[in-house]
Amino acid sequence: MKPCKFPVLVLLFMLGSCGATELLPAQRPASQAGDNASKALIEQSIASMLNQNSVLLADDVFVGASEIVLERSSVTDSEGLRIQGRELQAPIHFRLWKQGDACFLEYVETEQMQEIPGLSCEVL
Amino acid sequence: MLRKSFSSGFLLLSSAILTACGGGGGNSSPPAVMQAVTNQDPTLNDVLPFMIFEAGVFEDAEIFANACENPRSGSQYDDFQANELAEKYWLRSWSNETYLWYDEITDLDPDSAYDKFAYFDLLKTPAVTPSGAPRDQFHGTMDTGEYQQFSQSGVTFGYGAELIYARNDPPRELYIAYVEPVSPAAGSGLQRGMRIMEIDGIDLVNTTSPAEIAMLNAALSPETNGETHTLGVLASGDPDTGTYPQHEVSAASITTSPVLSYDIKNTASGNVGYLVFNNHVATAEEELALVFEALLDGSVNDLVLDLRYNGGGLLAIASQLAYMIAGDANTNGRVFETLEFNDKHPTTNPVTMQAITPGPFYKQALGFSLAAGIALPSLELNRVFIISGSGTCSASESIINSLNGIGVEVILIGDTTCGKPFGFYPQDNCGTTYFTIQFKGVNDIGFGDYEDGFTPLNSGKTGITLPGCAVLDDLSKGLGDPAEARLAAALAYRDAPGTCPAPPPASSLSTITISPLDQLSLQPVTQDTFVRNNRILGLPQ
Repeated sequence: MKPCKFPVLVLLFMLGSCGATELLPAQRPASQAGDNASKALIEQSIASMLNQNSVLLADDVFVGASEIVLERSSVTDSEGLRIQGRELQAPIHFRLWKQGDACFLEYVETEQMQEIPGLSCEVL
Repeated sequence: MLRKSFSSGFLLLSSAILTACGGGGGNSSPPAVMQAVTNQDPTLNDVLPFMIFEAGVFEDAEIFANACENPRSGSQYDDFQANELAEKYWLRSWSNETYLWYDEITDLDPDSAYDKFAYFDLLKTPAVTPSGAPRDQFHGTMDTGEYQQFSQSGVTFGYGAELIYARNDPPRELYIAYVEPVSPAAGSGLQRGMRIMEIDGIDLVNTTSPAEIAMLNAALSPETNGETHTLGVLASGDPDTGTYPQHEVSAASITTSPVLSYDIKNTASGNVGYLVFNNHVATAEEELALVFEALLDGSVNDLVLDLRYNGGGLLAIASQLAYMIAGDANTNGRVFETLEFNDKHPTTNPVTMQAITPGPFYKQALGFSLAAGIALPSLELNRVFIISGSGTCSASESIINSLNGIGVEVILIGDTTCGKPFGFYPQDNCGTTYFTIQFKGVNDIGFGDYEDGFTPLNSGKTGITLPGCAVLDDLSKGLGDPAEARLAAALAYRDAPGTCPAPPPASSLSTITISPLDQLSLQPVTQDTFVRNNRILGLPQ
């Protein structure tokens, strides 16, 4: 997958300039709720935008919702107590968009956008 | 690769170089090494060989930051090649700058036989709390790549059952505390109170075989989606016949419910809200708001908040929850929690470099999972019953402390809380993330000294005593069952304030044993809910 990262506003401008179809909030079809392949595409995209090796998502990620919230995975000590019990870092959000036949992922806090080739999504 | 240059203010190293080269006095010309250093913008690697330790004299930690024995490659890192000594000097200076009890650290020469992890273990206070426990039980490290992983809020990997150990050496006692409603554990019929007797036919209770213990631990910490194991369990109250019903569970991504359940108890003296709140994650913002709307609609005049398994999380969620309990009249203009750093940083947060300002009771959504700015509901209560245990920790304790600080009565039912008024900003250096206590959270009246936790008045334990009753965790009943011992005690106390069931022996209260963590080596497997609030099985002593 070749990332094409640019701010949402720039993307919207480009789409408008080219007369492209509208960018609309999107979701995964309900039929994909248990589809590991499509989930993996989203995991890989988010991980790459976060400079991480992987992220953990629900099997039904983006099914029925165009936005999800992520936070640091909870880490506990050997006694089961949460290490970071006073978390001060705000969670982050990702949105799924559709434009034409393409699905895009937006990292809301940074406004970065990335197409997810091969992902099937539908307008919410 | 970045290489850091030194400013002229790097006096200690300059003088060390002079000393090492026999220079620094008289009118003789500087030695060759010094010439090289002064004329060619010395780097850390130029001067590291000449470092001379002087106790109590510290360089700026920034000088040593990202100077690594094994630098990572990649544009996202600022690492550059140095050695382990540089990493230890960074630990020493960073601890001196930000550790809450920096002045209680024995200043040890980084150029010692200790590796960086052993050296870091020593960079903490030796002080103990009034109960005799180590004051700092929260010092640790973790691989940065593992620590920095993100998850969808509330999503974990495992079976969806939360376990607690009553005993972690033979004969082991491992129980299910609760199961997530939508999970493989729930689907297979596992329930609260069941005792796990065997896994895949291995005797969990009695085995002393290292190989079997390794297999048990592997089963408790699945790593592969669909990984399947079979649990033999003994239901609460059933006789132990040696034969156990088998439950097959497969590991999967689990979407947990921060609010596990809630209910409104209709009593002769009014409606009482009850809710089990297990995790301060982002999705809790919306769930809690919805639950409090329902409690408002149910005209509750009291609340029992069950935090016995809540180890904390997002501090802002704790602030919102405290507001939803106490409301405007109690919280207007009051402080939820202020972060106090060491005395070098009385006004500025040394990590964010922002001014330290009191943390408010948040009355609106912050956009975590509910649109920012939406007004939160509140019950406007002047008292709250909180069910607690040794797993009630950090942000959960902030709820208790903040309400106490504004005069809302907290009646504690259960066991002593974990005692963690502290926090930190995890800090990466060279691929290791370090956890060192940097601040204490204090409430509206400036109180935050509950290192031994909050404890019910009759518990017989050391801690900050609050009205209420010491009551064992009743695994024989479901959470929310009015007959469950802790909830029953709360409801009875409400009808007859000050009355409690006979307290259990103090030694029998805790179901989660806290052991010293001074050699803490954190394990990534703990992201799994199946072991999350529990422990790995240990080899017999």
